[in-house]
Amino acid sequence: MKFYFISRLSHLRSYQTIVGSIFLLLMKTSKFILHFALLTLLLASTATAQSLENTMVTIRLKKASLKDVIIEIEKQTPFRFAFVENEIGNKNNVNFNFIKSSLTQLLAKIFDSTDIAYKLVDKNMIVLKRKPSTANNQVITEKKTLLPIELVVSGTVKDPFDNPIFGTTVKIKGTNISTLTDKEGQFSIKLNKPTTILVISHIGYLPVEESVSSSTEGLFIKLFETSSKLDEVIVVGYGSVKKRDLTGSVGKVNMEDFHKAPVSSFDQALQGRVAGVVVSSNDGQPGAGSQISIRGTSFTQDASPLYVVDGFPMENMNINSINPADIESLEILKDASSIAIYGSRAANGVIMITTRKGKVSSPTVSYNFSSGFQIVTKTIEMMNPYEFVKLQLELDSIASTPTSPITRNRQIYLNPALGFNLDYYKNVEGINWQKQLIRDGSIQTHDLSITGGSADTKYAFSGSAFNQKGIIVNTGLKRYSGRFSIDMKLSKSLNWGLQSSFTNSLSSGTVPTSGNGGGVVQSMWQFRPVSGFKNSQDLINNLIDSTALLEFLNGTSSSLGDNQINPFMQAQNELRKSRKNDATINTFLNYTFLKNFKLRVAGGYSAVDLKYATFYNANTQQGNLFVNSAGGVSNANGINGGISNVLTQNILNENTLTYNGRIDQNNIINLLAGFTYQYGQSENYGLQAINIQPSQQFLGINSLSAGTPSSVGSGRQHHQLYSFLARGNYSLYQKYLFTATIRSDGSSKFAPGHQWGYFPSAAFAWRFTDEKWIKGILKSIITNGKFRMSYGSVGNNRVPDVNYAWQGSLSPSNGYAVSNGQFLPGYVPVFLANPNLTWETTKEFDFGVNFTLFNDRVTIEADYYDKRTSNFLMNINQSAISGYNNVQQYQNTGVVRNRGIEFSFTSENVIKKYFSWQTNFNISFNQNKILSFYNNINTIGSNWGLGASQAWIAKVGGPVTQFFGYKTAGLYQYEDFIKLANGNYVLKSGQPTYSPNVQPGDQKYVDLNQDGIINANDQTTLGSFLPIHTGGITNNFKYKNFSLNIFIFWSYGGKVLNANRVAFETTGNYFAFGNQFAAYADRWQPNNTNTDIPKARVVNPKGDASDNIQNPSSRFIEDGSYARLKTVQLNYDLPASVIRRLTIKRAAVFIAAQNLLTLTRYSGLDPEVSTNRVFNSARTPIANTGNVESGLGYTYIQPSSGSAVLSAGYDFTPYPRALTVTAGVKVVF
Amino acid sequence: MKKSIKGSIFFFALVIGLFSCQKNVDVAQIFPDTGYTTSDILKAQFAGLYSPLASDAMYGQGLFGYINAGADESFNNGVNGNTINFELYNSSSQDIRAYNLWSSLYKGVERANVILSVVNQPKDLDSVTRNDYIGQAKFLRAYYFYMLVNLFGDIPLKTQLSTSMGTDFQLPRTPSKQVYDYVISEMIAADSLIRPMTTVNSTLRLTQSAVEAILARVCLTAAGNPLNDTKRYNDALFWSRKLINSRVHGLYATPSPNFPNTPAYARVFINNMQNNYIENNTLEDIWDISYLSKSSYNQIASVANFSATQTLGANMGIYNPVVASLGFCAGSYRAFPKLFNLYQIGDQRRDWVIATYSYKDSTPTRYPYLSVDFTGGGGIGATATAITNNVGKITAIIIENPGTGYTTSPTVSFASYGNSRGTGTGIKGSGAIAKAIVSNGIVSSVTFTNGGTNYATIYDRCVGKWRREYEVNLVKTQSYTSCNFPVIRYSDVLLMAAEADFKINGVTSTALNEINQVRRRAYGLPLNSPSIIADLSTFTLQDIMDERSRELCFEATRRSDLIRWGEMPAAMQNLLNNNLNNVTSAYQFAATLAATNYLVNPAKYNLLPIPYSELVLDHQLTQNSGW
Repeated sequence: MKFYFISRLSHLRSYQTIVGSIFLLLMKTSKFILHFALLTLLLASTATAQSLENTMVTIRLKKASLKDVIIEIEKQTPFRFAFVENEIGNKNNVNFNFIKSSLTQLLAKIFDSTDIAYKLVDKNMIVLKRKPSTANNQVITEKKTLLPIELVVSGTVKDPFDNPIFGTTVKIKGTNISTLTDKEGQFSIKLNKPTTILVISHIGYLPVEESVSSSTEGLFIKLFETSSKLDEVIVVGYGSVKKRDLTGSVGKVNMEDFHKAPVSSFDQALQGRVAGVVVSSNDGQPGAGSQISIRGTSFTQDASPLYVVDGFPMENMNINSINPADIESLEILKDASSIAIYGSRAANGVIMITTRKGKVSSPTVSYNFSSGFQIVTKTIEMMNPYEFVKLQLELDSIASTPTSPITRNRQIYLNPALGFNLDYYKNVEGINWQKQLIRDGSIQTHDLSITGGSADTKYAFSGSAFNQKGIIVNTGLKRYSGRFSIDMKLSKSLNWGLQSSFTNSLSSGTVPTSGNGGGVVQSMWQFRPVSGFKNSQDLINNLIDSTALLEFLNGTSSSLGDNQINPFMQAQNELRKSRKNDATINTFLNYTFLKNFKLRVAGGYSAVDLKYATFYNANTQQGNLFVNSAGGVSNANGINGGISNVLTQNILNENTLTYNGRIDQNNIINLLAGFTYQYGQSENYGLQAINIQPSQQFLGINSLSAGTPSSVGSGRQHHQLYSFLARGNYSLYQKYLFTATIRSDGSSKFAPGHQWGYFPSAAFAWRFTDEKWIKGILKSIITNGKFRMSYGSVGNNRVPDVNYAWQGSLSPSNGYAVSNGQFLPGYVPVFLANPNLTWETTKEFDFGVNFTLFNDRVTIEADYYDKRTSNFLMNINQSAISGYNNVQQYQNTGVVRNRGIEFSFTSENVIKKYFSWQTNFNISFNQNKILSFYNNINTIGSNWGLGASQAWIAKVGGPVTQFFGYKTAGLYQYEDFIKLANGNYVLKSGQPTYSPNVQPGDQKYVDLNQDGIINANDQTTLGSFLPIHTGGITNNFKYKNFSLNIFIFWSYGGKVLNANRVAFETTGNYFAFGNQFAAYADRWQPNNTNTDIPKARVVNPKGDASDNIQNPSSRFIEDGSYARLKTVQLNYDLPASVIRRLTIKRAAVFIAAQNLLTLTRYSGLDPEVSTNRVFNSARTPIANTGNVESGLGYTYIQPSSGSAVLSAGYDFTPYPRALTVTAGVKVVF
Repeated sequence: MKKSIKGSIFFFALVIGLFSCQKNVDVAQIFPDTGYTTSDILKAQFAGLYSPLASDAMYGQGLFGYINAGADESFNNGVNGNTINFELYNSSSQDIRAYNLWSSLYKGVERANVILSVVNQPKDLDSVTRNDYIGQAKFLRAYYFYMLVNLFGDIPLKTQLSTSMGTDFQLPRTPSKQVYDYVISEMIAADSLIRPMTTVNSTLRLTQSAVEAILARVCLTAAGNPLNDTKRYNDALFWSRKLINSRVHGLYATPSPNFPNTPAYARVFINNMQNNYIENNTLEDIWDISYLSKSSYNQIASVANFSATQTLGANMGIYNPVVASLGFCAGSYRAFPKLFNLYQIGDQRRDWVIATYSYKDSTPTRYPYLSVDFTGGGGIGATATAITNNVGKITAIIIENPGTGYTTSPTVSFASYGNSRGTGTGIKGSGAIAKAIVSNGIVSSVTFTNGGTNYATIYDRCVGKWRREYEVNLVKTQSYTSCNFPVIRYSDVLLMAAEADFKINGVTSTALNEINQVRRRAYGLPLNSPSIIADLSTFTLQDIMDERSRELCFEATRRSDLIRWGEMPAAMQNLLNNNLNNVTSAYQFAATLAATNYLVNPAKYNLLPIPYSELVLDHQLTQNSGW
């Protein structure tokens, strides 16, 4: 037997060589995993093939034909027959009577006496063929020469999952002779000459050419889905178009690849999939959101795109509210023409999410289960006990003055009673706190869906459960979701549909990063490895560092210090829970009238109910009850807890009218007009109770009534938006495509007179390959090609609701004791409103090209865009002379430009029967530049959390964010000083300095303005976190029933501010006696001067010599480029024979891994990081008082992608990232 | 085809129709506009207006501590080679403390602006009340400007509402002269609007008395360095004498009735510490910044929710390592010997403002720094003060009270303790041997054969003006007290009147009487009876300077006084010289740090820097020279 695949196209060879070598390289890196996975799967595959011998049939037919028998056999068995009808003759009126005969017997009985030979091919295909007249033997042999009497070739066409493809055209090349496959995918065709080529083609699949001859038998052809997908439907705003007719730039996510990543939310699988879409997560916290930016970033507080889920636009989407498995398609609208229909809020791009819908079919039940583990990818090496103790002793000597020697640490670590000396610590292992805190996490997912429907009613139900145990003790994410959709045809002209979903998600556990207030990651780094006692068990057993506690209890210290908590106990005992209930319901009614008109009325409601609860029992830092001998308490709040609640509701009404007009074949118009209304409101309340009775703390969060109410607050905000929209599409000769869109929005967030914005756009596309004169030239290379051009404007109104009215606030913190015993809260202006505030407008030009090469085997899409965002909205710092508590004001601040190039291509590198290889590649370059600021602003700086100094700056001519600080010039060395007679070092004249206290070994900065002093004027820009390019490469390999997906993501050229090193490669009172990174052992010391790490100091907090400002400097800015082997999935589809036996439609087992390997020079945990969780007021209700914001203020469970672009790329104590490996099964019934 | 065109036309009509029906899309506002008020809101607005005064940057700590304490009265002992602060003259324009002060003051300014723009709205106010409100707002705004101009130099005189400024808050600096003229004219306007003390009867809010007293201070400041607008001496004299002549105020000549063993001078400060609660004194106090103990507000010390955090007594106060009972005090601020030596024998102020004892535990047992004890000899009442040198050797013993009834020489012994925790700890000094000489029943002199070594020095002694042992609180918290701060009191007015008078007329009997009133009270003498011990017969400017320091030390006036007199560099140089001779090694660093740093660039340190972040945001601002 021979199996045929497409004939090689010679001009593809060199291309294949290149990609082939890339493939080999990839194979090497993933060899181990592959072996492991293969082994697992081979064990699973023990299916047995059915044979003719043991297949029993019972046939009782009277006066039947041979064909009737065949039909009967096919009914009873999985075997199928291939034959040419007139070959098997018209022998009728025969009686057949077989009872429980094996097929072998039966076939022998029927055919032995005829001139028809039969043969089993493939697994279950029986080919019938007329015997050559000269032949006697019953079995056709391979080498037999056929006589060219009648040349008939038959065969079967199946898809990669062995499902027959019905209706495939089988055509003899160069003729009009063709046939179609039947429901079983079978065909037979009469050849016009002994040797010819068959072209087997089907829409949506790559065509296959098969050379056949009369000797060919039982042809078996597998068709692979085409990736050019010119005919695939792209969801755009208020409609959908075929890709070929698309005029704008829309990125469609390859959902097959997308679903291969074992992730909890869709954003994590989106990274690197679509050119121009940059997704980066802040750290590895379960349930944490990502920052998603499309085509660069503006200044806007909230750079997240607009999400449109099943037509429902949402600005602050909770990414955890959608189970990734429910997503059927994901489109990203990028250019102005595509997004203008969402004009008002689309400036950051639009992500269209379409969830699973019912289809016309019998009920299809699919179930996915996966389970796996997570392990930490990297931990930081800390100082070992010897180095640690050595440093502590050094700190003693630094703190000592000739008259008052300090021996604190000497007493602790070199306790003579225990006989320890420094060398003793060389053999002490010490406590590895990272090991204490970090565990192996687990991840588990169940997805069940039922879809189906008739022509009149289509339905889809789905439910899922997701459970993740994070890699830090007591952190995790649980999510339960359900979704339902129904579409009904009520009458000829009426369609009705409803979609509804509910998601309950619960994120819990400690937050490693909350601003810079410490957290368990900081604690696990800084906590001492040894206590000075044998085994250091006192550190493990106490909540507070034993020495800190001792010093507090005996009164040497008046507080416990902020970060002296046992991180393990803290993580185990603190309660932080964020529960979100997310419900949506959307319904629509379509009315078709006058043939061409369609009216759609849709309404929707969505609600997000967020409850954030914290409870700190006596075994936490925040709730400890220590009292020192003087009666002093370190924690005035005692045991405390709080609950806050935010309910966000949105109501939407959309009314659109479409008109599909066809003037003639060559002039097609499509018009849309509509009106939409959206109202959103957000309400919150919160309370805190303190000094809860210790006897009641066992009740946890339910014990609040046993405490004293402390801060209670409530607030509310709301907004509404009216919009009118219209779009016209005109297609001329189906080659010239025109689109014009206009949308007008009125937003209540602006003052009257500034409320309405107009956002028009236009696009043109030219399918140049449809031009006859071009077709002739390019035919051999370019299969399909299109140029696109668009220009238009879109808006943005992401500021807090009602931003133009001046507001006051009543709060005790602004109050005064107006008389004895009477304290009045003060009513003060708090809100620097801007009555002139209006729409931010982005004008975008896009030029793009799509084409497919070599019969659609290679698809290329490239775009150039130029986006100018003017009047960009920004909450900018105002001078304190405004006199407002919050000195920030939303302003239309300036103009920023994003220009870039996106390139993506898909290639079917190899398509063989058993083996196929497909590659998707995309890369995007974006250049971001501030063109101007208004209001005489020169620069906009942003403070970092470690001090009041600015670590970021935005200035005209540069990108929106750049690191800002001093350039280091190594360290001050002995030769920079004059040694005085008393042994003191005095800086030589001409050596610029920032402090008279500078000594050898201190940090040295470049005196940029050369004025001899290092001061604020010597700060400069130190690079930006914005990458030069990012991209992804996906390779899909299929071998028989195995498929392997390998996805690599990279980001190149971005910088990261490694603030961990500010804290852990510098000593100071910040956490004076804690552990440091192992690198700090290489600090400057008199015998180790050739280093860039300054000498140890006892400064407050952790500044330079005699400077209480922690200065950002180039020492902490690192290259954040990285390439990550992000997803690898190996899938094995159970063979069709097994599936048939199990009476299921499909079954597969898979093993998938996420974050396997990261190549980077970055010294921190992970270069994909941004932990400066800037409080995003744009998505927070205006609270009157109290700690209500804390629920959102700790944005670790973000509503969606919060972007803090101005202070991005900051790394301070992030939640470590995990490597996830899961294995699972997929079954379709 | 026709149909299609018709359809298209219909569509265009529809679109045009839709897009033309646009309306106002406002939603209801959730909070009232600040451009609106009622009499109830107005009360809360006034709480907000006074609130910055109580902030940490102002009278909670900054103005008597980290901003202004760098003069010749006290030093902060809680510093080391890495400590940065304005009081140490080693900070920079990026120091958040300068920003916090600046922004607190401008918050006050804007809150006054808002009140003045809406104060006419409530219809239920009578004209007296309304005028009183207007007067308070005008005065406080002027006072905030005064603080700004005094500390930062030329500053933007922002009298317009922020709401009227739209998006551009960049204002240039207004010349100091103009600011002072404005401040004085506004304060004068307020004088006739604000209620008098006689009807208000409280020092916790503004009264006519406060307006006039502060006017005198502002005018004196304007008359001195660097503005030298000398005609303002007349105004200073006018306003101080106006207040004096109103006879609303006077000095306390008797001790606090609850604490009869304390000096009369201490009564004001005991009242402050008691939150003006037990005794609501309006005689000597004129304007106090009011602190309500957090503990009496909501039983907790939560800095986040209650920003009025006074550190007087807990940071600057008598050392006490224990929170329970008397209340914790770090005892950070120590008096200089220079101040100690300003007091003459019999001046009761010395041992009140410079503590003679500390605490060691939760008991009220006082541990003397250095006491000279006379036992035996048949008599009673002899007291003396021992003076120590830079190694703690006793160099002199000054008899303050010779006692009575001594027949033989009493035994002289010394007890000396440093600041330390725990009963019986911190015993200092040894080796001193002294002998008392008795004649005519009194101890006439003490001679010593050995001065010993290592006895407590003045540097060990804490500022004792505000003592937590008098605090009335439900629960004492460690770092914060409810102590009110005396912004201005009557003795200051008397001394200002004398100074202004002197500047204009030279020595006058009125001025001399005013100084002597202050001095008599200091000696515990009747105010109106001439005293040989206390009275000056004539005086110079130096006498006024010294008297102000003796009377008003630590009350956040010394640095401003020295600057307006042009005496700051000399004072700091003297201080440094004095310290270099006297200081014990343990205090050498802390006691000399501020003066050493200051003298590097005295011209620079007369003003605080304009906060760096403000320079970045307001391009019209310029930096003060040297910063």
